[in-house]
Amino acid sequence: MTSTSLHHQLDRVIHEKGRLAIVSMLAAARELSFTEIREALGMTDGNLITHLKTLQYAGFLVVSKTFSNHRPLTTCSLTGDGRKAFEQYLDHMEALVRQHRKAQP
Amino acid sequence: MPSRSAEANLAAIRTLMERSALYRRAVAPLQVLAGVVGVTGALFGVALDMKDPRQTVMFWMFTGLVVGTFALVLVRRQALGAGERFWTPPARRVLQAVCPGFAAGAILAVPTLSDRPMGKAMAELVPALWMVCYGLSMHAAAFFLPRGPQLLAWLFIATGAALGLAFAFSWWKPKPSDFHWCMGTAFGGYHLVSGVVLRWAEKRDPDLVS
Repeated sequence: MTSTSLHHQLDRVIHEKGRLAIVSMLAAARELSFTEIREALGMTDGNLITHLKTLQYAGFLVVSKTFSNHRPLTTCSLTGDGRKAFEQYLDHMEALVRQHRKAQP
Repeated sequence: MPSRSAEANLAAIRTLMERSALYRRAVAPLQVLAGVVGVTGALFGVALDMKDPRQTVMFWMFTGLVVGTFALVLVRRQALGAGERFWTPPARRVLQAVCPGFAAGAILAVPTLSDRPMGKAMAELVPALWMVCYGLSMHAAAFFLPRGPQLLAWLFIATGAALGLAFAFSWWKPKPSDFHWCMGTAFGGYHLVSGVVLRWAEKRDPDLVS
């Protein structure tokens, strides 16, 4: 498989920088609050909401709204599809790196 | 996509995954709290002049409970102040890491509460046992903290092991007040110094807690 064909297989939803960061964090922490993600990534509310919606529409993310100490709490977690897509993305990245290393003399 | 970019992506993913798995609440105030209570407990214990080592063990178990309760309140306040949840996955990981050591320390102290002569003799060894157990707990939890207190953990383990050996080989015959001095120095002094140093480091580099 060539590097170009591997590149075409990359999931565009996950490949975007901001969304990749969100998915990476959620892959390790299972569930994070909106505030935690926003502060860790230094995103604006609007920017983060847009990325979360895109991931939600792709079926990669679940957003739940609850209350904690009488305050609204929005938490995000990856779905099974989201986790699978992230794992595939990592496989593609590793394949790209391996291919490049093989090609080097 | 160039391979370099893929490598950079993988490195960024790794950093983000590690960061989100870390416990991010400030640890320095917790250490200062443990230090202050530890030192106060030691001074109080010496002033009370307890002759029975079992009383001393119970006194320090109670002091540990006080520290634990205040620590929970402090962490909860920090979480509320930041508008975040208290019971996060990293908090769960830290608790899971410290639990075996804490449980071992508590279980090993139980025989000392009995009336048997062995219980009394063992009570003199409790500070050493607790230091080792606590050091092991802290070392396990350090993997989930931004700047792990491994050095402090090793200091507890080394102090506990040294005390245990000194006791076992009769190089040291502890007086009743020595229990308090040992606990005050390690659980009070070490925590206090570490907390102050960490607080200073956090002020210089705020990324330590975020």
